[in-house]
Amino acid sequence: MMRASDLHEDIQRLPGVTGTAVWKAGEAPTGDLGGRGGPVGPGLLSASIATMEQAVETMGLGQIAEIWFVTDDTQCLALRSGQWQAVVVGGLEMDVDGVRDGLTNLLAANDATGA
Amino acid sequence: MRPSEAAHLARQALADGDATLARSIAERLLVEFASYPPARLVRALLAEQANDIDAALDDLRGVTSAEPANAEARAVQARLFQRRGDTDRARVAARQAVELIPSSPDVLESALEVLNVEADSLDTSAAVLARVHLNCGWPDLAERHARAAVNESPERVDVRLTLAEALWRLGRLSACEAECRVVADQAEECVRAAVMRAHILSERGRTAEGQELLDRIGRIDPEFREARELLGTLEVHRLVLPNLVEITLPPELLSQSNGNVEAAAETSTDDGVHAAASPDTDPTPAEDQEDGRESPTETLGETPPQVQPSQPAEELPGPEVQADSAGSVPRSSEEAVESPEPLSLDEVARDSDSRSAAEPPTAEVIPMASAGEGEPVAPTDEPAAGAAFSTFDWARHLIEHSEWTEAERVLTDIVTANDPDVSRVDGLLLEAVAHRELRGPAWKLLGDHYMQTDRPQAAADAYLRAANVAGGSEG
Repeated sequence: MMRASDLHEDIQRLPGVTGTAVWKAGEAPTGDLGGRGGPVGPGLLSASIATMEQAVETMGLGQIAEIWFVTDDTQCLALRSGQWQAVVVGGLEMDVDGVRDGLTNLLAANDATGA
Repeated sequence: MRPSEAAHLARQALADGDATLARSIAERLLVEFASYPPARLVRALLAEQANDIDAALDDLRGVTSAEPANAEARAVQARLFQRRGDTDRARVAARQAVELIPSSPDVLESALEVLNVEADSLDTSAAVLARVHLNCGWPDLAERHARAAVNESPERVDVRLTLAEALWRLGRLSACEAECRVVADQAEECVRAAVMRAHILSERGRTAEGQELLDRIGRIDPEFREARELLGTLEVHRLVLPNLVEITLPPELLSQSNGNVEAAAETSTDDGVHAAASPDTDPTPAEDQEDGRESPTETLGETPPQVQPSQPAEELPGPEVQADSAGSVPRSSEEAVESPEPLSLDEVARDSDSRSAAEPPTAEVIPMASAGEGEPVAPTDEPAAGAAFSTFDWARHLIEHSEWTEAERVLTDIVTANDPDVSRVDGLLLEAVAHRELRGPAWKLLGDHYMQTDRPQAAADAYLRAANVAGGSEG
């Protein structure tokens, strides 16, 4: 199993990805959102998404597997695989489907090796 | 007379039924070294005899804080809990005593009596295997079993100490340091963890801080027995073992001991109390042998000092520590990275004036080669402060002294270590955010800590505050 910092580097290589935050359950998020939000950015975005997950679970809607949102210049995709979660950001040109596949593979492989 | 010799006399007096003499010697020792475990153990045994269970347990807490692996102290705790009707805690303490592999049959027997089992019906637990492997010089196997034992009993500080030592012997200093911090938070006076941390500091180029920490250990372990034992496994290290001290017992106590003074330096008793610090033997305090460890060849023991009133300071400088087959600590460049390190709250008054070795002793406590006139090594009015090694205390100390950069590093370390005592970390970080200079990083660390502990909503709020602080300072 890779460390979060190594995983972050691999995710960052996915095409179109400009920023990443990754974390394992019970650990603090690590990463870099391409300078956005400064050092607090990865934590703030991760915690906000985790808050939404918690709210959805509390409502009895199950566990979120994926969140995608788009702003006027950014796409953001958050995925979970087992103990690992990642949030990636990219421009509007980022191929979300391709990134989703790549990210899913990376997280699943990492989660499996750590099992 | 060395403190361990005096402690031995006290044990002997206790065994001979002379409680008054035992108490006098123990109290004399505790005046000078308020946390000295062998003396506190004697006082606990006296309190047990007097059926003063609270007082005995109080002293035993002190002993096990300094020496979490002291099997005899655990066994006595077990007896006391049982006497008080607290069967669960009695069994836990007795189990712990057994798993510490006591060398004394009496200690084992006492623990088995509480457990109400025969020795051959005991399971071989991961904690026992870890300890056996560590004692045999197989730290890799010890680590494996110690990890399993920590998972089984995360609250057992003695098990975590075994894990820390295994990691230390494997040269995995960062991991060892993290475990030592957990140990120190549970057992603030743990000498063994402090020695390892002092060595790690020195390996990271922070020798002065490591030395300061090591010096402070003398208030609990005035003969630096554990430091000698651990550092003696290294081929080289950068630390200087501080000068030993001697204690002068009043003549009336010596006369009451009926010639046992000489015996104290040479003999070991049936109850596992070993001779303490004969000039040409290991200065191991008697009770400490109860922890089940085999004493490795000690640097001091390898070079028997002459019968002198002073012990030359020991220094083994060297650029690197090399591993040996018995699991000595290698020093890799990977491990030798800078990291913050907690020290105790108070400054150690360094002894700058040397007393001549030939000078006849006049004070009650005589540092064997140093210490100024009237300046005892351990100020007796503040023993507790001098003995605290807690990371949390260190962080607070840095904050109080406005050492913001170092405080931030220590706080980061505390969060990274992911201390199981969640509310304690919460409290410390919330204290830190009250200081303007730390507000930004402390809110971020609080966010990290909240994420670690599955509180994303609080984490989002903390991160947002950190972002606002950063935005405000930029504006």
